[in-house]
Amino acid sequence: MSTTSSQHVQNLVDHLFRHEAGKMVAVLTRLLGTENLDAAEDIVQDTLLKAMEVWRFRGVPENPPAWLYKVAHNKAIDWVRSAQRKSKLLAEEEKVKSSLNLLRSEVVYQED
Amino acid sequence: MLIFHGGSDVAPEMKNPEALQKHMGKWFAWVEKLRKEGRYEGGEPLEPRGKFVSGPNKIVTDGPFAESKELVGGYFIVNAKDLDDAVALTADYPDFIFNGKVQIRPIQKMEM
Repeated sequence: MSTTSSQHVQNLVDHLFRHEAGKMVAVLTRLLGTENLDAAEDIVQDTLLKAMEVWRFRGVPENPPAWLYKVAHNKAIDWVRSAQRKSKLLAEEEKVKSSLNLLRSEVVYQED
Repeated sequence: MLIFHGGSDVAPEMKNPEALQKHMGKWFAWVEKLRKEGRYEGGEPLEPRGKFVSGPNKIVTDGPFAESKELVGGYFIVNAKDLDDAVALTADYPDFIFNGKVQIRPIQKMEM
């Protein structure tokens, strides 16, 4: 293998994983809110791992940043959905808890 | 067809993100080289999970498992004149250093 071609690919990967990763975190943070920086970083990390798994056997796609953004975007949507589900569940739990409390206080009231 | 067993999929060294990225760069370069030479036809990664179904009773069992040293991580379809030619194509297979193994199998051609 010519070292230049191998070096070229290595440089491309370095560039994508260093620079593009930072940009992706910034884009995702804007999408998810600054309070969810951790989630944005996790999603980007996941996306890069996925890229390595898949590109290894399929080769690096024609437009690597587009591929990365598409995967990260889908993962972000999944994250938002599951966060929504979780907060809905939490809200349900709160509702149940407060009705239980209400019930309890009524029971106590009746016992009085 | 080149079927890849074990190698970096099960190598503990690949838990380090820097090392992983560097090693995957070798894979990307290898695919790129095969593609440029008109040898690469396609390939896919396989997920590290699955089921076996066997025998007249169609017994379903778990496996192969991600830890298995012989786990097939993916495959390439390549153009080769004969088996020796296909063996030569594996010269740059990056996972030999992790005791990876390549199974080389000619795909039966249908003569019509």
